[in-house]
Amino acid sequence: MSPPRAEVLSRCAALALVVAGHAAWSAAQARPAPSETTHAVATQAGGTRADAPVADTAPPEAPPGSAQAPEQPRTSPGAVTSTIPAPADAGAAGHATTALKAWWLPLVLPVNLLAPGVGQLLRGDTAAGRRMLSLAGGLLAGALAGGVFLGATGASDVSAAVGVPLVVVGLGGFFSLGAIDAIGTFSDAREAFPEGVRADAWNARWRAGLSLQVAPSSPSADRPALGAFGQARFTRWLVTAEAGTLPGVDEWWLSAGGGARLVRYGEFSDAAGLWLETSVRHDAAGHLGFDATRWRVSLASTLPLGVVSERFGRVTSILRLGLDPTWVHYRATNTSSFELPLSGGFEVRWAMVDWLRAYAGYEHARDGLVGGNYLGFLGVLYAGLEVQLPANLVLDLRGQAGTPAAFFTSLEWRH
Amino acid sequence: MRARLSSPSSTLRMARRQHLQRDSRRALLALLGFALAASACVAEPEERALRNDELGRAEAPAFRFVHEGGVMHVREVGDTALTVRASAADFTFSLERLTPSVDTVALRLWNLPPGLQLSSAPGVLTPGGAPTPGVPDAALTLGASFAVHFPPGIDRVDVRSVAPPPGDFTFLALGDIQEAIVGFDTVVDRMNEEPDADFLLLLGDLTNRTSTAELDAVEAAFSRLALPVYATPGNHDVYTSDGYQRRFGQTSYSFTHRGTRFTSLDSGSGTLAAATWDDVPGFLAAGRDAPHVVFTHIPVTERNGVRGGQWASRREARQALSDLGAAGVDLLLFGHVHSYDAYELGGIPAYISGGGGASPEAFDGIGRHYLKVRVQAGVPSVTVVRVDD
Repeated sequence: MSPPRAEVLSRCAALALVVAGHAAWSAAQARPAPSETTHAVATQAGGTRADAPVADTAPPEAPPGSAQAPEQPRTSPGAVTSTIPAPADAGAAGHATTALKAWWLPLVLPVNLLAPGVGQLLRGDTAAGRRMLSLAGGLLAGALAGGVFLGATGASDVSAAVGVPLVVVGLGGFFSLGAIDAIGTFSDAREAFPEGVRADAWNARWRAGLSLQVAPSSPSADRPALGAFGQARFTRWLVTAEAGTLPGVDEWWLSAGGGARLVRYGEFSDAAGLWLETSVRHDAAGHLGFDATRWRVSLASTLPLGVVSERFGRVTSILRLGLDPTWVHYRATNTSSFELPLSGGFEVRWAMVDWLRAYAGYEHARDGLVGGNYLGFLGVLYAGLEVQLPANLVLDLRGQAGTPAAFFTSLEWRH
Repeated sequence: MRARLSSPSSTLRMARRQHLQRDSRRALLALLGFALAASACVAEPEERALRNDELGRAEAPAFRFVHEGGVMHVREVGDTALTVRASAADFTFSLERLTPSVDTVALRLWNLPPGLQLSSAPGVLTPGGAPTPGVPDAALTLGASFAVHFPPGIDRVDVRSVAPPPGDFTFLALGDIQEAIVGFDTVVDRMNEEPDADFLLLLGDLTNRTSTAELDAVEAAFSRLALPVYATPGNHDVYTSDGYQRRFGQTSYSFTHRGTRFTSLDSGSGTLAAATWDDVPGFLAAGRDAPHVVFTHIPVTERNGVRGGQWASRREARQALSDLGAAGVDLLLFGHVHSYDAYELGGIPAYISGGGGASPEAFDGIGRHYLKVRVQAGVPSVTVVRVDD
């Protein structure tokens, strides 16, 4: 077996490589174009920030043939507007396309997922389609390379440290693009950025809520896990705190953490960028016979697709990769073990309308109520809906496909 | 503060409402489908666990077979004949007559250690018997055929094995054959050279896709082995619903051999089924005052976590390790990772051995191998035997 130091170094190198790639691509896409399309978007109320350029608030021009009438910028009292820098070719392509409405549209969905970009080609947005196809090809090639490397080397300690992150990030990016292409295929052209997305989970300034998680087919089905969480996100900093009960037993866990923004993607949002996040979680599971302390260090790339193209302004892609060094103390034998799992995953969030968001993703982690899927190699797939309620409340309903399947709901105050 | 939208016209409002309804319906349908698919995925280990209880029973018009203790499963049943495979040398079973006119049932027992003796009432068991159905004789190694007679006026007979007494012994352990069943004969030959081994523990992944052809090939390969084989399923052995169990029997079970307790935990799906968790306290209690070896395919946790070659839930894994440690388990044996590793989990010595030949790790230089475990004065010690050296 490989020595632990080499193992850690190789993982860190792989981690840095793949996340840097994601960040580089994102940054390249966010580069201001020679002719900038000005599209007024209201940021969240009270979201004025010192480093955000305050642009003109002129309404966007109506795209010829657009399904929607031009809309006045939606601003709340005290709101400011900012400018989305558009890609060089977004203007013509974005204006010319309209939503597809043929009866055979559902047949396109598998194509969206298997060849991200085809949906945009069907809409006539050749530039976006080609860009997505080439990017998806690169991501799939990376994932395949990682998979082949793993297979050819028998998934050894060394090769897993490189191959697994490649596969996670490659497939994560690929499936994210598939979801984005599907959304872009069916959604109407040139929709204004909805208000709801302004206080989404990834960019809200303040978040606080209560959660409940239940796994109907688990032995602890009758004892759901309760939780409480809070978060404050500043221009460059992030602070989080969470606590909860462990399912099935009267015991608890506690987590505190923070983050720092390393790279900012364009002028769109303070939260859009590459973040270094860290947290410490302690599980006091005496009834289960152990205590565990997990230190999570991860890089999180949050890319609102509005940075890439206005037409994807309702979609956000989040990619994470990190390590979870964990110390476990077994009370019965008074012994300790050290674990060093990989964490990460991806999520695509879609603000369907002002008060309804859909999201889906994958979490490559196994330390919650829900473990990895039944094959034992993977993490948890999930999908959910967020319903915006009055008074800045958000109801989150989520299904998780893992071992076992579980359902999660939370009521959150988000601002 | 949430801003209020100002819609330019009622037409736009209506279009938005329709858009919203359409998108909402799509999202809700997707979520429902997702939840249903997820529920279907996790039913599988529970089904296997529940099926374990049925494997030791069979009923024909003329008789009923019930496995009372130890580990056995009924492989084939005919009108007046049956074939039963043992997964331990210590077992008890009963045959009950259901048709008064039938006075003899042909019984084939196999996977028995050489020299094992059976005990029953006088005149109940006689060697030989009519051919048993379904299984080619060539596959039934280490077997014996009997005629089971129902004495006049007696409708139920009990049979038990005479278990070998407690003492020192040796066993072998091997995992992860998969597609390497071609050429596996050399591994069997090497294991047949072990003069003092009592049995082989198979640590899972005997096949690659649980196909009938693969299972046939595995049985054919092990028909050449001079040792009984006790197995635990791997994730590659549970692709079909009951293919593995029809051949190898129970997936989670516990038995005693020469005073040492052995427990197989079915981790083929990366988790223990709720029904298996229900059995765990009994398994552990039975081994509390004896040396106890627990074997399962997927490592509860492995040293290198990035590969993901451990149970699906770390929380469940830690709970299991805590229970195993508290019950004084002496040795953990795993497969799944196509390599060899020796480490400690919660104070319990743990070994990973996936040396059956399935796509070996490129950088560890271990290759095909198996473990040889010597239990002496109740203390197990493990050595590695390389096949290709």
